[in-house]
Parts: sequence; structure tokens; C-alpha cells
Amino acid sequence: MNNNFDRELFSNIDITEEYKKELFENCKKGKRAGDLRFRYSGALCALIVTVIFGCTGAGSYAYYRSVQARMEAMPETEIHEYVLDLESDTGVTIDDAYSRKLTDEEALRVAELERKYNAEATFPAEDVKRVEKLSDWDGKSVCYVEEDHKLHFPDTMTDEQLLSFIDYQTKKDYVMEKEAEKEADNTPSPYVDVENVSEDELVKIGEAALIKLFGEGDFLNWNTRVTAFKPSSTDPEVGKSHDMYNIYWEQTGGSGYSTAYQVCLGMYDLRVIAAAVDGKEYVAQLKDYTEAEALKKADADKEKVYAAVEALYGYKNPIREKHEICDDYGDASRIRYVMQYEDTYVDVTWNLGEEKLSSVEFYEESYFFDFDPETGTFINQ
Amino acid sequence: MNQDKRNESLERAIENYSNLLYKICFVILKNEQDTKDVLQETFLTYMTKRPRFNSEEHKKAWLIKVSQNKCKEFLRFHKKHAAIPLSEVEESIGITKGKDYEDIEKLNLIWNLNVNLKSVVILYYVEGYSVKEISAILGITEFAVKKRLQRARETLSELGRAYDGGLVCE
Repeated sequence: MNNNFDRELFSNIDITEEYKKELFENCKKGKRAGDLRFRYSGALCALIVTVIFGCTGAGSYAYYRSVQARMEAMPETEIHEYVLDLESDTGVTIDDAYSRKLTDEEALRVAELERKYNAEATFPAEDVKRVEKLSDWDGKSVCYVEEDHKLHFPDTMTDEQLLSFIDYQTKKDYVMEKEAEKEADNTPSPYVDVENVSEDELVKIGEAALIKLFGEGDFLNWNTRVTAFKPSSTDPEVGKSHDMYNIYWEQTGGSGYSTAYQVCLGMYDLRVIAAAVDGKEYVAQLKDYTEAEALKKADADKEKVYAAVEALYGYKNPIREKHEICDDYGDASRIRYVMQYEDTYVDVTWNLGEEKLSSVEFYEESYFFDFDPETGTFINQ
Repeated sequence: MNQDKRNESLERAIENYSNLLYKICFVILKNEQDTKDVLQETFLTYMTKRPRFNSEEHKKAWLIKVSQNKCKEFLRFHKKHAAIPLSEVEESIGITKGKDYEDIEKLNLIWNLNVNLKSVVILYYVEGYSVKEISAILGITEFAVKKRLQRARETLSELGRAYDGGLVCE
């Protein structure tokens, strides 16, 4: 056999004209790939499922079941409407699916109401309205417009309207999860049972990592949830370095908007891979900067970031460093720095306003990060 | 550029390069759905970033680069779909249809390569890019490209022995 690999070798791997058209139509509308959409919703749905079935917060179980009952009671016609919405989702980011971004105040309110929705079964009196054309919208209600596939918000929203938004989003995510389940029926899951170590032990290690990074806080009394992510079980090519335990600290009833903490531990050595605080509620409380201000402060804060990493984890004098503005739901309030220390890479997010770390992640030597000026993103080689 | 011109530019880019990107990404991701997702994300980036190009070659290289980055992101974060063995892909899309034994063996070899090596092999051997061009496309040093090519040849050689007991690549 010779080593002449040529184009003809792949001649049977062909794209159809039909798919080219579909690709064009999807991109023209700014529609994102299904997988990324599921990525966003996946976390939300996982949390919803958790609060409904798996939460350790005693006393509220009956209420969580109410949310589940509400989802299961959706008539087929309503489910079908959500399926159509999902297929027509034109949002490049999830917030592009709305007529405007929620204000920080609204995001905080949504987080609060969402906890009541999930934990106390506080549901809206009415569903969001649906109209065919934008011209049919009264401008005062929360309304889904079929013409542009967007949820339209009035200039200011009452708690009742925010609740109807939460209800809409929860139902949409529930339907999306159900659709994803159908698709994934024959796909082996990378999520496995926790083995060879107790969940309590994992939580204890995770707590120590959070206390080290954030100090003692209320989150230590929140509900904990442990997952075992083992992609090497479904694809050996991924490598065991991606196998990990994820431990979450969540507020009772909290889902997509609530502040939550997370720690990732290596599955075989239980070393801390990452620790973070996140959630729209958390981000909404951060000080916002313009992009230019954020980048200027990112340069000015660099030494402080190095000092924080050294004080917490002992890494000194990075060989090189790259940074970019975090995508904080449209705000510029945190900076992501990636630093190389000999054979270790430390990837952190820095809360610009409070000048504190809000996440830290450690990578193996095999990951080399660089910044791609053309695509405007970090890449790993 | 107005919306019509942007759409026209997008349509032309899809017409000219989607097939090429599909082939490369499919061999890397080994899964049709993930490949389609990566292509959609790649052309969406093209549409939203609106980069300026010096030439068609520059545009082609940029699209390959973006798609490669997306593939890596997918492989790292989104193991939603399982990679599918070549034999199973064969059943669904006939990837080896009409190929002789030797070509089928070559496809098998490339299919099973490590993803980093696979990118370099496809760009070098199949697309005919030079080491320097691949270095620019993938954003790695020329030394790293040469090293990967060497490792790919070694791996292919080892795999080849496993397949037919003979040395496959020089």
C-alpha cells in the first residue's frame, strides 16, 4: 500500500444540495446549531429535573412535583407550539431569542421568582400571549411573535409578567429536553454512577476547594448534587483526562438564573480541575464596564490576578498569558485570563469590580491555549 | 455591506466550501450530526464576524481554521453523539462504496487516527497545503506540523501493520 492520500479517497463523503440550502437558510436566519442550543438548555433542564426529583432540600418536594405535574399536563397542541418555536429559534445567543436583554434588576427578580416558581409552585395566572405578526402585539404584554420567532418584552415588567416568562422558558426547556431524549435514545450517555468513592466524600473535597477560593459562605448550606461525567466510556479517543466528577451547590428551587457554585474533580485522582461561581443572578450583581474600559482594566489588573493565583495555588511567574472579556450575558464585568506555568495552564475568570477570582480551572500540559485574532476566540492546539 | 450582499456572500461561501469543510469535519468528528452542527456554527461565524479577506485562498483557509476550532470545541465539550465506526457509517452513507481494497484500508487508517494528527494529514495529503500554510491555518508552529506529520506516518504505519501485516507509509 502506498501513502498517496488524495481527494478521491473522500469522494463519497458528500454534502447534498438540499443540505446546502438548509445550511444557507439556517445561517441567514442566524440559527445556531442544535447542539449548542441543547448545551445551554441542558444545564437548565438538568437543574429543573434536579429540583423536581433529586433535590435534598427537605419540605419542598411536593411543590417540585407541582412543577413536574404542570409540565406533564401541557396539552399536545401547546407542546407542538414549543417544538415549532425551538425549530424556528433564530437566536445567535439565547438572549437574541428575546426582543431585548433583561436588565440586571429584572434578572435578579427573575432569579428570586424562579425559586418561588420551582419551590413554592408560584405560577403565573396567564400564559404568555402568542400572535402571528409583530403589528398584532400590544407592546404591553409578554408575547411570542411567530413572525420573528422572538419573545417580546414590554419596557417594564411586573412580577406576574416575569413569572409568565419563567413559565414559558421552563416549558420550552422541558419540551426541548424531551425532544433531546428522543434523539438520544440510542446514544450511550457519558454520565455514569459515582463509583469507588462516596458522594459525601466528593462534596467534602469540593467544599474545601470553594472555601479556599471564595471563603466560607452561605452556599455551604445550599443543596448539593453530584454527577459523574465519563466521556471515555463512550469514546476511548477522548481520553480519561476528561473523566470527572461535578459537584454543584444550588439554592432551593434555583435553576437557570440563580447563583450556583460548581467544583470539578478528576475522576481517578480527585484533584481539583475547576471551581467556579456562576449564574445570571451572580453576574447581574457585578459591576459592568464598557468593552474598552474592561480591556484597559484587564491590563491594569494582570499583576493582581497573578498574585491571587500565586497566593491561592502557589503558581509563580507565568511564562505567558492571554486574556479576553467573558461573555457575561452581554455585559463586560469579568475577564478570562489563561496563564501558562511550565507544564500547567491556569484558566481563571476575574471579577473586575471586586477584583476577585470568580472561577479557576487547571489544564494538563497537553492543552496549549492561544488566542485567535481572526475568530476572536481562544483556541487550544 | 447590506443584508442582500451578505446573504449573497454567504451563499457563495457555502456553495464553494461547504463540501470541502464537510469532508474534513466528517472525518474528524466521525458523526454526521456533529459535522452538520460544526458547519452551521462555522458559516454562522462567517456571517456574524464578517471578516475581510485578501483572496479566495485566504477565505478558504479562514473557513477551514474556524471549522477546525469548532471541531475541537465539539470534541472537548460536546460528546453528545458517539463517534461511529467506519463500518457503521458505511452502512448508512456508503463512504467506501466503489473503493478498492487499498483505499478502504487507507480510509480505515485515517478514520482511527488521533484527531490532531488527522487534521494535519487531511490538510497536507488531501488538500495539498504546505507545512507553512497548515501552520497558519491551525495556528501551530511549522515544527509542530512536521512533528504531527511524522507521528501520523508512524501511527499509520503501526496501524497498517495491524491491518495487513505490512508497512503502509514511508
